[in-house]
Amino acid sequence: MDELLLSIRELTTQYITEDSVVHAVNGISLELKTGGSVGLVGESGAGKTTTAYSIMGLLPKLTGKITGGSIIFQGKDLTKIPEDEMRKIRGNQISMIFQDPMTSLNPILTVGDQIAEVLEIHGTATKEEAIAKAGDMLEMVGIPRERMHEYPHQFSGGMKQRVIIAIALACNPKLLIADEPTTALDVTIQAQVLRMIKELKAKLNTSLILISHNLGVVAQVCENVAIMYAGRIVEYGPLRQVFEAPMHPYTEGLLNSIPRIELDKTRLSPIRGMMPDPSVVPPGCIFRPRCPYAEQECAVRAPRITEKSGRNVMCLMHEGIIANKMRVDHA
Amino acid sequence: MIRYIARRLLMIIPVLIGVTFIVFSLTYISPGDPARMILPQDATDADIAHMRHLMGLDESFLMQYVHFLFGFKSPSEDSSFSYKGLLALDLGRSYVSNRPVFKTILERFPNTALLSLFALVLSVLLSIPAGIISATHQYSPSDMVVSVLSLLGLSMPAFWLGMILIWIFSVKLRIFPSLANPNNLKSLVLPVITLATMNTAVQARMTRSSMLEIIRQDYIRTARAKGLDEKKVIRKHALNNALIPVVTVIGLQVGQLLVGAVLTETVFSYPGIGTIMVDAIQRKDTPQILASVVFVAIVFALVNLVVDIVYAFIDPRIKAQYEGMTKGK
Repeated sequence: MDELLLSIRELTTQYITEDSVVHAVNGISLELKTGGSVGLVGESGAGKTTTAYSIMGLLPKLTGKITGGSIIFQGKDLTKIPEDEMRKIRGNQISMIFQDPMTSLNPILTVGDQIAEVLEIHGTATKEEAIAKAGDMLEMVGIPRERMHEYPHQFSGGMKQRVIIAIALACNPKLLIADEPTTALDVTIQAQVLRMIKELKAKLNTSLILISHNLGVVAQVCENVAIMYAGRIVEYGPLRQVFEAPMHPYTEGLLNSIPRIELDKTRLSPIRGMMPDPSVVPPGCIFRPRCPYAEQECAVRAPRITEKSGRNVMCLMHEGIIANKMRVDHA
Repeated sequence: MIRYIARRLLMIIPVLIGVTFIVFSLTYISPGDPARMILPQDATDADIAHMRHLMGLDESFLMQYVHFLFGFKSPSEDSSFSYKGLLALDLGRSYVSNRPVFKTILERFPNTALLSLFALVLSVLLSIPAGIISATHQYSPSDMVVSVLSLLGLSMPAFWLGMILIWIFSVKLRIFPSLANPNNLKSLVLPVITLATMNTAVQARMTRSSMLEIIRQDYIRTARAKGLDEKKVIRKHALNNALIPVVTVIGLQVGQLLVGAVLTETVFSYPGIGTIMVDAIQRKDTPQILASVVFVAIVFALVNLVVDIVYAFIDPRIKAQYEGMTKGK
């Protein structure tokens, strides 16, 4: 139960175009145990989806490139294995759910065919078995099996996302990556879909990487959370601890941006400024321009990952280089 | 679905009324007097006026259009100027050959159809694979080759290409004959190439751009995430979706093949609808002009109906839409 399923070490992914190099993921490390779950949280452009595509081997062929680090999945380095071996893992042992269910299904194939297809290609079933199993999968996600002969346009957004979940879970994957699975859905459907992901994950003992810009979504499903900023994991730890006592100024900023009913505040305090241009990497701490606690030292010295009471944080305040001025004291 | 097809067939009627009216008007206002052309050079004005009366050409424009639709009974005993009208599919006899105009068309149409069919098959067989390779290997040398060739194909007018082919293959190399006829397959090679070139180019470009758009779709990413190999992703998920707009273009081009045949058939002196039309226009053979144009319009309308029906089989969304249209109203 406690064995390590996935271990990402110093993963660096870049998008290389003719006139620039976009540093999308900059040396992140992350571990995931069998049955575990981690939420990747951050603004748009923080590198969450690129991280997911790096694991899946789905980076855009011409531009996307893993330039460093390793992704060890069940003892194999996914960055080193050939494409046809990766294909056997993809959809079979590692599956992915995408952001927009409206466009993620092929409009001219029946949903049954689209679920059965993944079973067939991984040789887990013959054609007839695959179709029968596709019906089972539909029922598992709460759609009557008779509807397997219908086309995506006959389903609502929430149901399409369930179909996509059925496709992703059909081969009983070890790892499920859900990239903003509920962002395109309305709030009531969001809750349903999240509950379903959580239940199925427990039932099938699947590990989960949940990508979201919404801390609330991650809070409902994940044990651990990794806060990403500009292609780095700036803070990592058990969800509850991170939420109750953030160590990184960025996490604190994110939490302050959430409306909370119990706090008698009339105004939210958003994080000022914008994420830096990922094609230009400035020296020092990447968050410094937006950090309310930044000092001179932060402009020249890049923070390293500091481990503190089972949590990781990337900030000079926790390296003891500059004084810790955050409200919560972690000593 | 059947109700939809019936509806679409009915919709051809107003289209044809429009087409016939325009064609009829154009022939009416165009210079030249058929009566004068039929009669010998030394005919008197009285002879010509009498002839015009026999042909029904002395009546008003609207009356003549009514005759065109519903038939005309010539006052002369010679029945060759009488006809039952378009609704009875009888527009009388050619002023030149004195044969029923639709008979000539039906005799010659298979020749044009044969030429167009060969050209269509050739262009589809070449253009779709070329477009796919071009799109899936964007910016590669093969993409460049396809792009340059299709640009070339687009820029060559059929009559020019036809003459160049004749000059190279008939005059210089003496491989293919310069005159084409439907009984000699070898003689069809040059006209088929001439006809197919432009279509191949248009379809290849269309397939490429449509394919490029489709392979960026989210469901293609889903297909890749399932672990499908790239060939299957393209064949099973991308191709059918990408072909929807290509089918539209092919449908429109079938019409163009029939019309494009005018030029190609003229260059190769091929006995098809195109040469009938050109001859008829040159001789102001009004019944033959009207009959040919109406005929081509009907074929064009039917081909596009077929295209719309083909959509329904490719894309279930369109099928649902068709069915909703006939159920709902």
